[in-house]
Formats: sequence, C-alpha cells, structure tokens
Amino acid sequence: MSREPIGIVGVGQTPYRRSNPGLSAGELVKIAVDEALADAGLGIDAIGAVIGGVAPDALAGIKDIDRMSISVPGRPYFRVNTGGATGSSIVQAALAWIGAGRADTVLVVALERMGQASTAQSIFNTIFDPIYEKDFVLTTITMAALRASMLVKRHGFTEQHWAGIASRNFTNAVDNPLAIGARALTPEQVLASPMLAWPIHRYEACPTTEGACALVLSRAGVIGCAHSTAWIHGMGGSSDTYSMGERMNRPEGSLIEMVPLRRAAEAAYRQAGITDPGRQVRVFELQAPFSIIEAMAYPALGLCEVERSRPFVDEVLAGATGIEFNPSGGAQAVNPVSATALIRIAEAAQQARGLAGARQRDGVRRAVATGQGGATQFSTVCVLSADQPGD
Amino acid sequence: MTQYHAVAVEGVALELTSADRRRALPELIFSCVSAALADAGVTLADVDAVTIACEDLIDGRSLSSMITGPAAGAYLRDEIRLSEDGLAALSLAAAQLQSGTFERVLVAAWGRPAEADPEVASAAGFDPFTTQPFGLTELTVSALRASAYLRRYGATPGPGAGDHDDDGRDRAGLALDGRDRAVRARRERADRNPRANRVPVRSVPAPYPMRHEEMRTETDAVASVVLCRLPQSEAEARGLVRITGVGHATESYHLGDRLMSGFPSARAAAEHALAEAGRTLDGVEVAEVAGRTIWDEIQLLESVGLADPGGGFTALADDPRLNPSGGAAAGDCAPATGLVRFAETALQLTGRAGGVQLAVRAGRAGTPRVALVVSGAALAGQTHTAVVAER
Repeated sequence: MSREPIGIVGVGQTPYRRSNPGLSAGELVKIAVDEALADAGLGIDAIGAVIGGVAPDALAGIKDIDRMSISVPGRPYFRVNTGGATGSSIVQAALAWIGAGRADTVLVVALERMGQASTAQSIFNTIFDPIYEKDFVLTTITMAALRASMLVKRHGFTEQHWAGIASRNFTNAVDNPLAIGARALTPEQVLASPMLAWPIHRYEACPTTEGACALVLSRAGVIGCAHSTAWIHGMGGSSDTYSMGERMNRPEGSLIEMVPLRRAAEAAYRQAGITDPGRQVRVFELQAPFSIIEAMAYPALGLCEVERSRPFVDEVLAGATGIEFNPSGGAQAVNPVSATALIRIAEAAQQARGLAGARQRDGVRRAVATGQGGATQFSTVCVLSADQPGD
Repeated sequence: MTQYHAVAVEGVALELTSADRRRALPELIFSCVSAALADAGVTLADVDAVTIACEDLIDGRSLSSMITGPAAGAYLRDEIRLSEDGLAALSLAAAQLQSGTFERVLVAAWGRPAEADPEVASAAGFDPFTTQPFGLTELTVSALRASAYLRRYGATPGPGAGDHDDDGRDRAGLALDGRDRAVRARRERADRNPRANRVPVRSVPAPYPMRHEEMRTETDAVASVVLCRLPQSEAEARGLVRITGVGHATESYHLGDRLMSGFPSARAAAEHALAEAGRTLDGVEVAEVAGRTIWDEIQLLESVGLADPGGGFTALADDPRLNPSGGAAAGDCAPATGLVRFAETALQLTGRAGGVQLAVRAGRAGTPRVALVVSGAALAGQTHTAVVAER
C-alpha cells in the first residue's frame, strides 16, 4: 500500500444485463466513465492514467477489445487480465501507479462483453489443460461442483445451505436497480431450478452478464475535504497453483480452504488494522459466482474457523451474525467476468460513502470487497472505509 | 514531499529458442525465471510479487496465466498479469516498488509462436466488420507503415523494390539510403549476439514492400527481470542498474486516425521517460527499440529522435548504439518483445552482453551507462512504453 492515503472519489456503472445488442463496447464504457467522472466532479483532463480490465479475449470475440473501447489517446494506458479478479487487479495497479507518484488521479475501467459469446462455458472449457482436462468437459460450473462435493463430504453441507445463500443474494438484488431483471427467489425456487452439475442448481450459479464499471481513484492531497470518498485502507492479493490435484493435500490448506483468499485477507487486514473482521466489518461484497464459493469464503475471510463453516452458514442464513453480505445481490445476481471484482469494490465503496441507495445498509464505516478468478486461483481483498487513514 | 523508492535491476535472463519439443511453455518460463533469480542471487522466497505479460491467443488457451503464472513463481504470492507488452509489465512492477507496496518484484513475459501463430492471433484484434475482412495483421500494418514511410520521404518502391541499379543503389530512392547496410548490420549484430535465436520458428512471406530479411526472426521468447528497491547502502547499490525514468503514451485505436509513417506515442513516452530521468537524447549511450520489422525499428528510432527524419536506415547501419542486440533479427515474439529488449539493455549496462557488448561510451572506452528502451503494444503500436535505465 502507498504511504499517502488513496481514495475512491467517483463510481460509475452501467445497468447489467445478459447482453446489450444495441450498445457497442465503447458506448457501454462511456456510460460508466461519464458517470464516474461526474461523481468525482472531474473532467477527463484530470485523469493521469487509464487502466483497463478485460479478462479472456474469447468472451468478447475480439482480441484486445479494450483498445477500441477503453484506452484514451494521450493518456498512459495498459490492460490487466486476471480472469474474474481482473476488476480488483486494476485497482491494485492504480494504487501502485498513484503511490509511485506517476499520477494524482487514475481512471480504472472494466468491461465485459460475454453476451457476444455463443456459450460462455465452452470458452471457459479452454482455461483448462488441453490434453488432460479439457475433454472431461471441465468448466467453471463443473469445477465449482467438485468443490461442492468436497464440502458435502468434509463439512456436511446440504443443498439447503447453498440454496439459502442464493436466495438471500437474489432477494438483495431486487433493491439494486443495476441488476436488470432481478427477482427474489425462495430457497425452494432455487432448488427447483435445473441441475447444472450435481449438486449445483442453475440459481446457485452466476448468470451471463454484460456491462462496464469505472472508478476514479485519487491521492489524498488532491481530494477536496468535502468530497465523499471511500478510502482504501488495505489491499491484498495472492495466487495459487493451477492444478486442483495439487491443492488437495498440502500444509497450507486444501482446495476448499481458499488459501489465496485467506492470504489476501491477512495482508489487507494487516494494513487496515483489522484483527476481528466479524466485528469490525459491517458489509462484505463477495466475488462469489456460486453460492458454494461464498460458503468457502467465510472461513478464508476470518469470519469462522474452517471446521465451523457449516454452522456459520446456518448463522448467516438466520441473520445472526450482524454482518451484511452482498447488499447488491453480489456476483450471483450479475457477474460480468471482467468487471465483477471491480463492481464488488464499487458497491463496497458506495456503502462506505453512504451512497448505495435502496441497498444502503445502516452504520457502515468499513466494508470489504473480494475478487476471485481462475478456478479460485487468484484472490484479492480490499478494505474500504468512510474514514481517512490516520484520522 | 513524498519520497519514492528508487528501483534497481538485480537480475535478468533471456531464453530465445525455436520450437524446442523437449520443453513445454511452463518449462521454458520456469527455466528463464530461475535463471533471472540466480542472476540476482536470490530465491523465490525473497520475492514479494510477480508481474507478468502474456497473451491468451498466443499462449493458446483462455486465461493462460492460470498455468503459466505459477511457472513464473506466482505461487502464493501477489500476481498481476497484463495483456500488454513486457515493458509495460516492467513499468508496473517498478511502480509497485516505487510506491512502497513491495520490496522485490519478479517480472516475466513470453510468447511461443511454435504453438500458435501470432499473426493469426493479431488479426482478431481488428474490428470484425470494418477491418478484419481486409486481412490485416500486425505484420501487414507494418507493411502499410513501410509504404507510408516511402511515400512521406518521396520514394516509390514500385516494381523494382528491392532491386539495385548499377551503382548498387536501391531503386526506391533516397529514403532507402542505407537500407541494405542497415539490414546487413542488423543481421551481423544478431549473429554476434550469443543469446540470439538463429532458426526462425516459421517463415512468413514478406508483405509488400518488405523483403524477407527485413522481418523478425520468429522465436519462442521468454524474458525475466528481478527488480528491487535500490539498497540504501552505497556499497550494496554500487553496480546495480537503476530505472530512472518511465513513460507511457497512447494513440487512437483507428489506423486512419494515426500517423502511419511514425509513432507519436513512442516519442511522447520517450520524452516523458527522459525528462523523469533528467536526461536528454544526447546522453543516451545505448538504445533498444522493439519493432516487428526493420521498418518499425527505423520509424521508432526516428520518432524517438535517435535518427533524423528519413534517416532511420542510415542511423541503424552506422550508429552502433542503436539496437546493438540485432533487434528483432535476434529473435522476437509479442508480448515478450519489450522485456527482451530491456534485458539486452541491462546486460549492456553491466558489461555482460558478450559478442554485442559496446565498449565505447561518450567517445571513450567503457561500457555504456545510460540506456533508453522503447516498445509498443497492440494494436499496431497504439500504446508505447519507454524506460530509461542507468548504471
């Protein structure tokens, strides 16, 4: 983390829907960027660098689609691509850029056009080994199903746990006007949805989503004292090995323990001075595209011991934790892959700023957003607060 | 006033090979990264973060860093992957150090054309409706640039391009003065470069008005650099290469909006980097510019100001400071390009460049002390990064 405090001063998001046949990639970006700049009270001339986030090219069907849609002539520009964690990785890059004194203010933009792909899962099949794994029809869904099977076997989870998490997320999404077509679902409706890959039902998985999200980040010295700011108190990232088999039996933790998320959280909490996240963080926006991933994230984020993950989920579903998870509906409601981790940070920032509208929760001084990509391989954790570090 | 950390180069390594059937891409990466760590005299345990540059469509799978990132050392440590030129990754890594985020960062970039044709991949970056039908690739745009260059300087390649009159002059005219000498000098330098690959992965037909020997030696390329905060102890810092200036610039996406006979973004990036370093072009004692063909290389030299307008071929032929490695003739593949050039430069500055080592600086004996590296990225040089390194 930089020594000078850095905050989010502008947030812009498009509505998120399955596809946008009437809008080009550039038009989607412009909607988000115009809103973020207006929120920041800045013009494009105030932007010292632009950092773009686009994950697999194949989802959009055009290589480097960011070149035609995000890059700004005359401004330093580069593209980050860390799968589902792309959106949070561009915030990491912006923190380094500002912290290095290369710019006072940086615009980060993430874009997803996966509605252009004929089937997203056929493309996600190509993230796996072409010789040993691809022909098993491994996809992000079947990959998650393997983890779900482990959770059933090791911790006694049932379908009701994951349906409960999904129901909570879909119900939250009703208050999010950006989640186009959101509707509340009961656990029974979730369980009645088609089985995608046992034990995961359709409504326990994320939808195909398009959209763009933009944030404006500035260093403290150029932020007006009256401007509503979400200050970044901590940011951590960690990567894991690719092979799932290598993550089964190792000292650091098994496949379902989300070791990189735990390490990212430890780093971010340390920077932010968080020692008891269950008591010190009011809102978590989790990049959990499957409800089983959310269940795996709780212990990794220090909210419970691994062995207590099932009873903790029971407490979450009973509303007994005092923590708000995914007021926006989270990644199960909308999951534009390239942008989804940035949306989590945007939503956490709006909660910290008190600007989340109908989805605003009471008493939010501190919020945490996570990023997750590449078969739970890349993880990030970002701690945001209404209070400037050092105050 | 905030003091930013100075950045030093601890170790570099290059692996330029041609379709080595014995080693998979992760093995090439691991080998090169291991060599860079050994060169730095550190181990992976000493590395805080890994910043990489690679392209899905060249690596042949979506989110390719899932499998290649760990080979580059990104196991249980922070990782950011750019879909950019390797020099941009080096720049971001330097920012991570300057900002105080990390103390040591490993940078790696690669491209393996033996397994995928970068020209086919690059075609996917052009607009699918208005440009792709013309069959444009990065190489054909380089050829268009060559034609624009000829037109700008009053030469007409005509049917006799590549032919010579009785006096040995190229029929194309004055702008091509030195063309043959530059091609020979480039080849001769590449032949003296002990790291060069001499067996191209494939032979690509030269698009008009280029000649075959003016293209690159298509190569499986991996480069790795270990960066750290400059040690505060003078004794420890002595002899280390320092990064003293960085610049980035961006042009319009649309080729029709761009100057096709030069690279204004390269000039802007280089000017910024030199200004940050407190240097001028006169003080540059070695320069490496990264182009796909000799035409790109000479236009970069002219754009940056290292050659007079229209005098790029002559400068490349006669000035040993310019691309002493042999440039793309010594082996090239995007997106490793810029990091390969940087590694060659670091070797020059430390007197370890072998057969291509420059032995004269500022008119007297000695290894060069001030270097400029410039490299572009998709789409056809839309963005450029420049780095000044000194010892």
